[in-house]
Amino acid sequence: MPTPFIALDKLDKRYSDHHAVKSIDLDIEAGEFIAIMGPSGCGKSTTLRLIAGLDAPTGGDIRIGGDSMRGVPAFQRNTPMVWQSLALFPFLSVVENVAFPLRMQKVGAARRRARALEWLDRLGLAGMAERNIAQLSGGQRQRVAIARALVTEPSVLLLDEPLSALDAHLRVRMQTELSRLHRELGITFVYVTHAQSEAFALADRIVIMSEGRIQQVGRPQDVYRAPANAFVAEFMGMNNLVRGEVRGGSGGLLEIGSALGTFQVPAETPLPAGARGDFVIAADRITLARGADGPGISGTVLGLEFVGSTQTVFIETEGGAEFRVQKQQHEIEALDLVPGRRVTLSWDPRHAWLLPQAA
Amino acid sequence: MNGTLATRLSRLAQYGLLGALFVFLATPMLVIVVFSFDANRFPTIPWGGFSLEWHRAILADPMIRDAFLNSVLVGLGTAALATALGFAAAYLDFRHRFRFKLPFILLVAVPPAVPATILGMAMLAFLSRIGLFGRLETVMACHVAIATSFAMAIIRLRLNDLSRDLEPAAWNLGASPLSALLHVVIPFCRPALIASFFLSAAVSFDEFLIAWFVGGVHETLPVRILNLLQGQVNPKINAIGTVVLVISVALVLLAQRFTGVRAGRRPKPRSGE
Repeated sequence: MPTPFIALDKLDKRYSDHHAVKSIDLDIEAGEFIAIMGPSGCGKSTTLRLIAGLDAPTGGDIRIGGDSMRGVPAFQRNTPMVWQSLALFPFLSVVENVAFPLRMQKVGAARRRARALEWLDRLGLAGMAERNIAQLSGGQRQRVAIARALVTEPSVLLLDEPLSALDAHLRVRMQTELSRLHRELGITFVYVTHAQSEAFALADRIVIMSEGRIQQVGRPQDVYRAPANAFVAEFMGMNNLVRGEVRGGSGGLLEIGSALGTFQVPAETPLPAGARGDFVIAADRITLARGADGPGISGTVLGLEFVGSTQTVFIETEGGAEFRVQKQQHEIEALDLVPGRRVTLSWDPRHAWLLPQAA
Repeated sequence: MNGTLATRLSRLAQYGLLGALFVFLATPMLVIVVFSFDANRFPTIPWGGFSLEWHRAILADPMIRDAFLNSVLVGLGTAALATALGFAAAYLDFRHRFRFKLPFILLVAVPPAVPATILGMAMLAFLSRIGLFGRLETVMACHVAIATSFAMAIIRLRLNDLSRDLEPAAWNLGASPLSALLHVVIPFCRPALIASFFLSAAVSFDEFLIAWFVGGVHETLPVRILNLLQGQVNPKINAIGTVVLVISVALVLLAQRFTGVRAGRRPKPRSGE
């Protein structure tokens, strides 16, 4: 296996009042687009700051390109970051902002200006060079921040919730832009976000963090379909969690008993009866039928919510649990789903995912 | 229209009061300026005709020239030192957390709040004991102690507006802590630095009591004015007063021009780290 480009080795960060990052290990390959996700306060931004050297770890090590970063100050790392606040220099013009890192590298005035202009052009900001930062729109500022971070042609770009200040329309455009830049440059992007849509649209792999620990690392679809634990399943949103206990099983299917009834769930390795058998079923894998007397779980429609071309149906089961089911508009109409309607839920056992036991 | 009349009267009264206030404040200064151009030996009415005699006289008086030069030297020195120290104190407060931070800031801020007589006597006692009494540098040092407080206040106000991310962003982009200070923090503070330079110069230029206590034979302009007054009523005083007034007002106006306190802008709340 090749040595990873960025390796976090038992990385730990303790502040006086809380333990932000708890001994995490992570390997990031060269050229990878990796997204670190999690709710606020999960340690994702701290991890990024540790990589950039803006905070000193209280334990463990970071290696970039095989070299330990222990004792290497931020300004010698060449790990430029795009800040959530953008952190553009308000007293410098657009081109001076972009040329700033080159100025710090003592590149001559003419050369650094030429390179800054090149990058502005590349990000569609030609003609804005002499403007003040205050004269730019949000999207333009964002591009200036990206150009400024890339002007030294680093081998890694760190992004800390860079799109959170933009409106939805611009956010999608900037996602496309970032994707294009990543493809063209072939460098490593480490992207911190709390927005699932951004991480799914952009990243090769995503890292889910919670309370300073990594919960799961994997390709977006794998994390979505096969969450490692209840936290990830719930964080991903469109999953229904059923808590249960293994009753028995055969032929790769476990029999799981729960408050809602008994279910068949596929499992690679058999588990002894009595073991915990929590599983999830994705919202788009559930079949709905009218009436409460078919096979499956019966419940009552609580309400509906639009999510683009599909709708999420909220259903309360007899046992009092809440299920989310995702359906196309025409299916909703065919079933005449309105609040109060009695329905039956069922799914193909192969689509249920048994949560691996927490260590 | 009852309301309109009442409003008009009220407005008239307000303008009247404001006008009276300005007249009250400005008249003594105006009198000095007017009589400095009066040909009469004593400032009396009627006006004796326009004359530059007294202005010429102060130029010819070597003691006044020396005092003026001393004031300029002390003023410029104070301005430079107080601005540098005020920036250092404000930056320390902005960038670092340390024990006794509040006492430290209070220590820098407090000198102008101490009555000048007490400050002057205390400095005189202290400086004569360590053998630094009666030098121009001593006057400057004392003025620096007072002016630094104003300089720090102005610069702190500006630093409050500096995004907490800006300096780390500079480090992240390859700037050493020193380069970040020179290329990011100082350019950001430039208006405040210029303002505090002029304000410190004005504070020093106007200050009399401490300069009188610790200056010894080195007179600054305000000290020279008092010494002239003690001798006899001298028409040169009006001329000096006019010069001092013009310089002080100019310095304060320049400082105002650069403080950059714009209406309607609230400083950003400090984000917790």
